[in-house]
Amino acid sequence: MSYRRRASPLHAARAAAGAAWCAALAAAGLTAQHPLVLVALVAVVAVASAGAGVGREIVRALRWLAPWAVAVAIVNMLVVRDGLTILARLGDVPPFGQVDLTLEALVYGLLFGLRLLVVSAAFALMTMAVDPDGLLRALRRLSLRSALAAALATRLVPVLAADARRIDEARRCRADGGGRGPAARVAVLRAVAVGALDRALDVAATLEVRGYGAATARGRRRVRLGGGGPWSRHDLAFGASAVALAGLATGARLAGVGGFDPYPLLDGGDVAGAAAVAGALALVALLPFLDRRGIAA
Amino acid sequence: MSVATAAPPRAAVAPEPVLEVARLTYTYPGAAAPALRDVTLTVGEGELVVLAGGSASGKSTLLRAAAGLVPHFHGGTFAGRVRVGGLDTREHGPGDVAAVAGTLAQDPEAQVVLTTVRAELAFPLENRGHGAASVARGVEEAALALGIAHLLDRATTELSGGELQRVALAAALAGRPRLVLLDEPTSQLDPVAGDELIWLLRRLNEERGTTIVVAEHRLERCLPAADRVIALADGAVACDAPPAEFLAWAAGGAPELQTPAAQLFAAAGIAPPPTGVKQARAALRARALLPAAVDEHAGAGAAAVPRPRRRDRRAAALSLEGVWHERRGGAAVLRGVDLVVAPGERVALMGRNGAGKSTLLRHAAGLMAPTRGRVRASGRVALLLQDPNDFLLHERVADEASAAALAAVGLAGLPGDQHPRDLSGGERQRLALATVLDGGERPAVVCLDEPTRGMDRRAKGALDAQLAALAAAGAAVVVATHDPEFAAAVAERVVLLADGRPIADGPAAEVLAGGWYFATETARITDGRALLPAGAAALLAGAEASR
Amino acid sequence: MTWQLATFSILGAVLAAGFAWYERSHPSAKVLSLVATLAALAALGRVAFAPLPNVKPTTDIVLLSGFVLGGAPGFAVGAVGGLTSNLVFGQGPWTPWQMTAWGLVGVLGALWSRVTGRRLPRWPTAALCALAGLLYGALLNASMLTAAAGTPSLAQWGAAEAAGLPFDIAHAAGNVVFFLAFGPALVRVLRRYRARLDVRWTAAPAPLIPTPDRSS
Repeated sequence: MSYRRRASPLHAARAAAGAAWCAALAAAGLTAQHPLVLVALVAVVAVASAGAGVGREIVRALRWLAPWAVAVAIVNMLVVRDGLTILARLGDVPPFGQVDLTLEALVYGLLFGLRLLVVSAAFALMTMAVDPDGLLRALRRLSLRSALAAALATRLVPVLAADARRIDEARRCRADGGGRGPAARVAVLRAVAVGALDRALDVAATLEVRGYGAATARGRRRVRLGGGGPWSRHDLAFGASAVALAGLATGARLAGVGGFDPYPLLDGGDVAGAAAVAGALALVALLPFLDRRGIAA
Repeated sequence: MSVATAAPPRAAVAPEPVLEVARLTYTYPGAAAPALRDVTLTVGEGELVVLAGGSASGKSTLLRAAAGLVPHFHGGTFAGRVRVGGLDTREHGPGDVAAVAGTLAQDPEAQVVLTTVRAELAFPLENRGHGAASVARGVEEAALALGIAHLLDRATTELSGGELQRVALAAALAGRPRLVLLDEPTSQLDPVAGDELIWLLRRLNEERGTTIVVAEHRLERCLPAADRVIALADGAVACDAPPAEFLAWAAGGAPELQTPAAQLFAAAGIAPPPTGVKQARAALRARALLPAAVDEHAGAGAAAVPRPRRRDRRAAALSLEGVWHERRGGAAVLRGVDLVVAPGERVALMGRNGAGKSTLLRHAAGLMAPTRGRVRASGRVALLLQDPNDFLLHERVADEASAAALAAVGLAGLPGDQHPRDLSGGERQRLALATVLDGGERPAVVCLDEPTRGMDRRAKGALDAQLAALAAAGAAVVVATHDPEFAAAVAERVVLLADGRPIADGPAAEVLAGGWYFATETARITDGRALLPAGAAALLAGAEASR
Repeated sequence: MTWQLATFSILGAVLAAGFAWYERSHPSAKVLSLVATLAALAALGRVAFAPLPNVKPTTDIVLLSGFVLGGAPGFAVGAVGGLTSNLVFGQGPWTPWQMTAWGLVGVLGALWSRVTGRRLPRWPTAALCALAGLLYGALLNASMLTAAAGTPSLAQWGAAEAAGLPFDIAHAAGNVVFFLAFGPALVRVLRRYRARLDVRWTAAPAPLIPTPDRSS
């Protein structure tokens, strides 16, 4: 699961807009109360993934996440004891104490899991469709050295992985095999670390001769980073969609539209409001995917 | 926003030299002896200067001093003065010097710090405070000048070593510095990528007038373009002269720095020494020592790959029978390789990148299994992979290999508790060789993958002797190499691979003489009648006598 | 919603403070590349041992980085390592939690070096590695509660921690093993590097060293 350039509106949008859109979707998931809204959001993420050309990968990620969400749901059902509709009495179960399984707790747990699913899927989509380099570049405006360290670390991970493969191959070529079992593994790990730190000194020299020292002396205010040019139609669309999503989710929550509380006794909640909110969220979130002009990877 | 105001003011145009080193003596922190002793030199605008010298002669240190890394990054004791584009490095650190001098070092992986090529090229410009438009233009120009525009949006992790080094050079050039400093930029590259990089430098120098100072082991490929050669020995300037004069000096003062062509002329008693193949051939033709008609390709006979006989197979140290390696969901790397190597035989495997040399060696050593066919060896197969650093697992030399193995590779004198990473490059390689040769059972086959990368001629000579001793003791030696000179010196038989199978297999004298690309410099001068300078000199002496 | 807002604000504040601390320390190019390298190693350690549930040398690497390099770089190694490793494992609402948790582990390492006076006692440090693993786990388990509808009850918190406990114990045990096998060597390596961090140069007067005789 990693970023790859593809031809999709979400990939075509700049990193900041794409990330904001995914984060807004996750935030909508976190603020949503009504099961109808949450189910709609799962559907939105699924459709958006298909629109971004990563549908298959997201489904694979969701399959991975679903058991986890179910586990969370069950744990919460066990520890929350507020419901009135008792499904089963389990008696005294350590470490939870007196446990009654209630319908309300079950629904609450399921909603908990569903919310996790929405949030995780939204971020999985971000991992696959938003260029991490673009994000790090945006971060560099906030904190030059931290973001530079992060960018450099991102660059080094595959380099070190290749080092580890080579060193392990060399270990197998040694007459003594470099030790046995775990000892060999530790020896390789240590060799990778030593080699990486030796290289770190060369990397530091490279930073110096590329003017890092001059940049820090000047202070980050004077290090101007290009913003990546004028905003494209996709940048604007996803940026606007993100703002609208966040506004809609917050507004609905504050206005109490689409409210839902499983406790103390389950009822349908504000179904009409929820349906309206779900529809509006889906519309706002998916509109930017309709415009497929100028998206070649 | 105006582009022009965003750029920092360039140093005033003045007739002064771009690089001025005056009485520089420098000692690294904790070092007993100085790395540079009383060095004085100047480099003028538009010159291409080659730094020559063996390992640890001070080439790298001198380049670091010119980049301002010495003393600001490395510390130590610094006496004298270095001025780069008018900036005194005692007052200006590497960050300031970077605006007038771009720097490129050896390891491509350590030269690139960001994740996309575009970001990498923009980085030095952003650090210097250029505005967005100025950065975009600088990136565009550097990418086009170095022919990497098609790589701009690629991730740096996907690039090969040669491409990475080219990107790093573009980053060094992005601010259009007046001077480019290169510290053995090709030592970690395969020779093909290395040649490309050197060609690029020559073009930059000729077409754009960029001043270049480059340290390089393989002098033969930059001498024809060089304006001057500065040879360092023990940290002092031993020679500072145009190429021809340098070669004349090297004949007496430093034979290990001579190019093969110069060696040939020196041995044959012809002066002045040639700086390249073209000059050498012209000189020989003028003396009527080069027959005008070339006899039909001597290598044509060798191009036929003989089928190994069964009797040879049974006696072989290493035998590959119809070995295929087909990658899952990928191309076939080896296509039915038949190869028999007798005990004591020395074989060089040559071929371009991706021809299957490394894969073949990995099959021989059992690191990879053939998808079809059979690999048999009469005993243990030792394999030394490309980077000797990968073999160093421990913190003490004595832990890496037994004392006997260390003595066998000529490292008996090393203190056992020294850190392997503190050894020199040549010593590290011998130590790596010791770790693969170690153990009770003497290996029946010794394979080496590209062992001469980044080695100077003296170290190559030592390795050559080492391999000859192993072969004399009965081991089959198989060396994958890009270096025709080394192949001619070390191997009696050369196997040329292309697309995963041998396309030529025969005595070195035939295969390397009949080639055009896979040929030694001497073979290119003498139309393949001799591979190494000594043999060619004898040939020329004969021709002279018969005339 | 206020609960999520509150937790993310706290995390944001901790991260901002940590990064500001690092930024204010004006790390040299050497420190910066060292931090990036260690963060990459920490991330790679997480990837390399991904098949074993929750066994990863990451926490040890971060702790020992803080131990040798100090608080601000230690925090940066942890936080950047968390961010970078999630480029492989997938970003999510847990990312700020992991960044914070590992950042704090780095600071813990720096504090430990104050306590022990830079020595590295074998068993106490191994115990600290285990403790760091448990603390990290405690924070990460809490990250799950982000998805709770309202402010989670103490019982919910307890349940989240209890559910994560087996994983945390595996993490802590792994940390001890990694430290015993690898820790002292890593500290030696780091100290070897650290010696090269602070360089000073002195200007010598006119050179007096004669060039060696090359007539031989």
